[in-house]
Amino acid sequence: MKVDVVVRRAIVVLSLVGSALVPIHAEDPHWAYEPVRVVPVGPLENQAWSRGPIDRYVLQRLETLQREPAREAPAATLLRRVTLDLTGLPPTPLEVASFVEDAAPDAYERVLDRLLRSPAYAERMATWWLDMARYADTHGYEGDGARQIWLYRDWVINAFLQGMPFDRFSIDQLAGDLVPEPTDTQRVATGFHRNSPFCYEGGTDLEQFRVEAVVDRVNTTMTVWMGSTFGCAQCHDHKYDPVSQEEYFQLYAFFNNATEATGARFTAVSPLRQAGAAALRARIARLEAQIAGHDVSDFRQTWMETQQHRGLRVWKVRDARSSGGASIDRLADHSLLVSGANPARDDYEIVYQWEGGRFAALGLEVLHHPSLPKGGPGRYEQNGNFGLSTLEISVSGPQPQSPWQTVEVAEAFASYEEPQDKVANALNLQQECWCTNQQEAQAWFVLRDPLMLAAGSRIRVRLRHASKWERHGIGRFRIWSTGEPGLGELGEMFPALNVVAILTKPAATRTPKEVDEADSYLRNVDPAQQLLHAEVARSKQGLRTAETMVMQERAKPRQTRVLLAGSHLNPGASVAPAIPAAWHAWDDRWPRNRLGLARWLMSKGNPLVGRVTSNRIWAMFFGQGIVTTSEDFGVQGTPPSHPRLLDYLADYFVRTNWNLQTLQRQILMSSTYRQSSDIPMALRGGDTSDRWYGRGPAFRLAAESIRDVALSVSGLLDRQIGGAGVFPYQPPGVYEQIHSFNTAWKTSERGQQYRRGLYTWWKRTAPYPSMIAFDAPRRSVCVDRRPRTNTPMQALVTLNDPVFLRCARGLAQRMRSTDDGSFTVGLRIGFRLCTARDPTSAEMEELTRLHARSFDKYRGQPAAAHTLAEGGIAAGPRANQVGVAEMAAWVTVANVLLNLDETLMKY
Amino acid sequence: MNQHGLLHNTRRQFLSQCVTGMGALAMASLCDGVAVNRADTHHPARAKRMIYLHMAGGPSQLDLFDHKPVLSQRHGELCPAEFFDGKRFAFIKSRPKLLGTPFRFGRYGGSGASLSEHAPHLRRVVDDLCFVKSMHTDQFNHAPAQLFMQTGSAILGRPSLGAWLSYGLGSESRELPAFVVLVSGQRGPSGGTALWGNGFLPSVHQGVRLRSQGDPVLFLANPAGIGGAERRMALDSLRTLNEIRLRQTGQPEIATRIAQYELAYRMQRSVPDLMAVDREPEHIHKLYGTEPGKKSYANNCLLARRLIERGARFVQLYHWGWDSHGSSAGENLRYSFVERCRQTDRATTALLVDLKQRGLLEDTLVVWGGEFGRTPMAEVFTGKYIGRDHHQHAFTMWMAGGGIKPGVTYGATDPLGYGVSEDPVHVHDLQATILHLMGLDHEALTYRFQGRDFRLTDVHGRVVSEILG
Repeated sequence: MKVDVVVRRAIVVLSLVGSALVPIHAEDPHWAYEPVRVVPVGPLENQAWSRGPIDRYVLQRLETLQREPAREAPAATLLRRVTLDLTGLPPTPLEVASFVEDAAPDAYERVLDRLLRSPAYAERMATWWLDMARYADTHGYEGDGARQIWLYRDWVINAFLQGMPFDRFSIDQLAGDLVPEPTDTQRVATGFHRNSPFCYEGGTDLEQFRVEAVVDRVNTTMTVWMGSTFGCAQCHDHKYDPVSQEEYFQLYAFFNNATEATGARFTAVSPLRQAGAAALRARIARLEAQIAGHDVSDFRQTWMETQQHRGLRVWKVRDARSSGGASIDRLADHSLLVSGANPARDDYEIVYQWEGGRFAALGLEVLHHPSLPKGGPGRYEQNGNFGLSTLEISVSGPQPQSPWQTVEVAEAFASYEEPQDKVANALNLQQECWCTNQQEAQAWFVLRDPLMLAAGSRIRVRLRHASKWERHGIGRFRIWSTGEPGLGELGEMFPALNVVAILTKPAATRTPKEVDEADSYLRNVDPAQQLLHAEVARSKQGLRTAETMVMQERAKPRQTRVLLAGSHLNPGASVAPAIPAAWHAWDDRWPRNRLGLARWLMSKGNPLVGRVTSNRIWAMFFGQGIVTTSEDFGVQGTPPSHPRLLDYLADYFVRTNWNLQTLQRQILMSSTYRQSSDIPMALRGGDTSDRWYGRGPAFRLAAESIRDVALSVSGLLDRQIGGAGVFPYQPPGVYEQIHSFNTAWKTSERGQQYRRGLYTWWKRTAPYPSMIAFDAPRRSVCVDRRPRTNTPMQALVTLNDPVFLRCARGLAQRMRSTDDGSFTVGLRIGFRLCTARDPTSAEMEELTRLHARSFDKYRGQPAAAHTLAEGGIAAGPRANQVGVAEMAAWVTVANVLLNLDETLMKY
Repeated sequence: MNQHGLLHNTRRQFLSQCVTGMGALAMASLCDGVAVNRADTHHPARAKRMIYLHMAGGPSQLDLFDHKPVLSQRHGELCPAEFFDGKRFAFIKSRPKLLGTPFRFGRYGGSGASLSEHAPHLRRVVDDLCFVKSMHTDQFNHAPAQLFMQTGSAILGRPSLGAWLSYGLGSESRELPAFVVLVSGQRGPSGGTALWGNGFLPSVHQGVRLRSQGDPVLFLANPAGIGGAERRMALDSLRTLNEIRLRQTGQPEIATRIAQYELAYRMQRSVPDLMAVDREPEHIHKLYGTEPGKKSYANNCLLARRLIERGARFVQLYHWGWDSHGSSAGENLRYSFVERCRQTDRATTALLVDLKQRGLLEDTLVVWGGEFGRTPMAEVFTGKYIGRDHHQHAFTMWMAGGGIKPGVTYGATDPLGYGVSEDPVHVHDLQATILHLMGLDHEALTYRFQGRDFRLTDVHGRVVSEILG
């Protein structure tokens, strides 16, 4: 196997003779494919500095360069550094104070414990992982329609929250659907590979983009777990690394058997709520049993009496006519059954002799009957539907010559209505109608003003069926009225007419099914049960499910063929799933599918996965990896600056059962990490780059963190964990101008606007502008390290973006309303919130001057002061003008604090 | 790799230093356009800057430039079987009929270039243009084809032409980004902002879209309640505080940040000045057909000239609406296509005239074209509308200015306009040619990402030396 690598490389080198490009020795096996080997460090001059092996490896290198490590960073700086590194959020002033004052030797270690357990840690780690997972909320390409896959993001957050070992974390994402008896969460985890973009543009060759999605899955898997970049082998044999085109397609075959790129969806409870789900289910079952066991016989009596007291009555109709010549007959239960002629359009007219009393609402039940098509309740021969387009009520005196007066119906409610065919459609003369899609239902029509009618008065009800649907008359119906709708204490606006109908029958004639129907209804409205019901409803909230995209294998496997020149139009020889020969061995007990591949990637024989992952964790804290090309450990990548340190970390990571937190803790505990990042005077003005870690890390915060820090110090941050993407403010026209299906950016409600950056709706063709300005990727492909630029666009964001201005107002508010209201205390608090340290006297002086000068300026410009201080919202009384100018000055100071280099950086 | 590789290694090093936050001063100079100057090109550049007029949706070459009398004679016949059998189209699903152009054509200028009646203004500058009638591409859907044209790949994630130019050449302006994008038409191009994305290049190289609504550059304006004086005061304070910090820590990135805030402040002045199209004299508005205050393609053409004058390296216009399938009023050859011509012909011509009269055309490259062409067969033949499907096998683009041979036509299609019959020019060839004119070797302009040296032209591309002046 090793021979093979050497031979191939020799060929490469020969073919590139004369080029300075590949300065490698053909006879050396490539370091990254060699087994991990821990080589301890020999004696060192500086005995005191090292806290553990990491420091010894670093120091060994520094000593050969004759360099001294830097002193330890001040406590406040260190706390801010480690808090940002582990949570993406700044420490609170209280956390800083208690750490600075904590003299115990394990103070720092306890901070690490606290941070590693926090949900903010899980969110920060998820942000890191989601770039590699290329997580987004849209498909990409033209249209760039929305997709729902946020349960996967919840899964990632939850995995870090639970401290899931990296091998399980990997296997569940790559093949959670293929493990024996997968749980819901394992299936949700496979969303990892459903994050590939997809093109749904009209006229698209779907196979082209399915192939692209499979290619994306191969390349992403190899980048994430093998630190190997394979894209080129899609079209030809890899020039430098030992992968032929055929081998590429053998890997491709592992992924080629998933359902189409448009494929499988799965509904589940969010992984973040799974832990409590079982307990919640048990609790619901208990509560429901309690409700079901409740005896309603007393309440039954009370309920019926209440209905009678309200004047509920069923209409015993004697006079009903059809305009279309149908016959309308009254049945024993007082319902009316329509039969005979069924012309295109038929209107019914019912005239009822009133018994006297109050008339406040009319109830209409539509009912099934065996004589109707499909059992009704409508007359349409195809499906038994009806379409009631208008219901009109008129009243008249007892005399036949008394005039009819139309009664105004204010509103209508139905126990069931089709989304397009609502009962409210029956309140006007337009064509739209009420339809129940074959279901029995009841509707209440509430009069604008209740009427007091004398006995013998007549009420006329017209049921019109003038919708665009022909022959859609109601087949069987019953009419009710009540004198007093809506008694809130019974938890029901209108009585359930079916229950009334059952309970008005003699007890002996009720079927067991009817008794059940009535009793279960009564249990629901019995005030004695209301607390239990509310409890059930609340518990069910915790079990809300959502749909998400997952991987799923086809029943009938696809035949994989080499695609010549990488094109799906040129299929070549057939290949079966296999791993490249030059890599570590395959165990024949593994299935030849994604699960087998996942086990192969995480097997002990793989030297790459430990190196690649611990290198990324290192880069997370130090700003660059020991291998700076963290995505490429191949021949073309940069060699490691500290090969032995890298192997130590990889070995430690695997030995501690792939526990990321243990690895992180090990790195963060080191003296290397704790060094000051200040640049020594001697080096200033020259090359200040440092690959040897003779200084602590310093670099700009990631896009999400820039946002989160501003929200956090201004007191606006909403700390809700998990859930669907949110829509914080962005200027109009950015999102909408893009050629797209989902064109409206609907800014989220209050708190949701201030969620952490990782929850921002991620649209691939029009990503959130302030994040893109700070180098967030579009997430169309796997990205494992972001560039860190420094541009004027970034300055414009943090100075002028309304979100950051809103943060400045929040921070200003906090500075002004300090306990003792003192001006200098306010300034100190603001500065400390942003930087975790106290301002120097020079800094205090400058901030004081800025505040004073702004105050002066704004005192003379009350309108501008109002706008800045209050965001343009009309302010309070004029007497408060000084207060407003002062607030404007505070906002100015806060805006500057949020733009301090130190606020935007980690030092 | 050749001698220029060294140059790019240097640049790459310098960028990767920026990436680690340690060579940030160098980055500042890059943004200021100081470190990167003409000496940095691979060979002497024929064009110093470029304007790319992308007609999104795919304008019909057969109804504008590529006149096919034989197609008109055979109008209504079923197309030859080989045009359809085994071929892939976006929407045509059964063997279609041939569709002759419904428009009149004429020959114009000393070069005798053929133009349809819907390019009446363009006649005036026809001798400045080089028509490439033998363009062909790999993609036949909008988003992938636009991405292919602009990034050299149909797959999301690659840097765009403008980003490569910015990476390769830097900016000439201290106050404006190197790569500016202007969008007109009812909606943006299908490929979205990825069309001007930086891909894996550092994000300073992404196109900055000047918007016609709200702030021309996002977050450019001071928030309400902060005037120019107040902002200057706050920035002075910020600068003082950052300088204190710089003295404490010695971190060069702080110096960069101070410089970037000052650059942002300058942009706050220079961009509104740039956008103040209403200050142009009346004869210029007449020439372009601009109406100040209204957003339009014409406005964007005028803005493109103003940007070029102020040192922008690459200005890209997108005008959507050329998708003439014939399936609806909005996609109809007889109406909406004609309307698009009316919206663009005068302003496009004006831009060329204006650049020429200011002496800018000789070192400004202008490129006009869509992401693909249209079929000589009808997608919809009868009924209210007529139209053509997307066509990848042949279409026309034109180029003018910096280093381009004027008044010529290169390449040809068969008598029915279906395929290229002479001198094919692939999208990667076009890209190679553009880079060449800008002084860059498309094979040497590379960036290492995920272990591969990426190029705009992938592993293809030929400089079409026949059209170089």
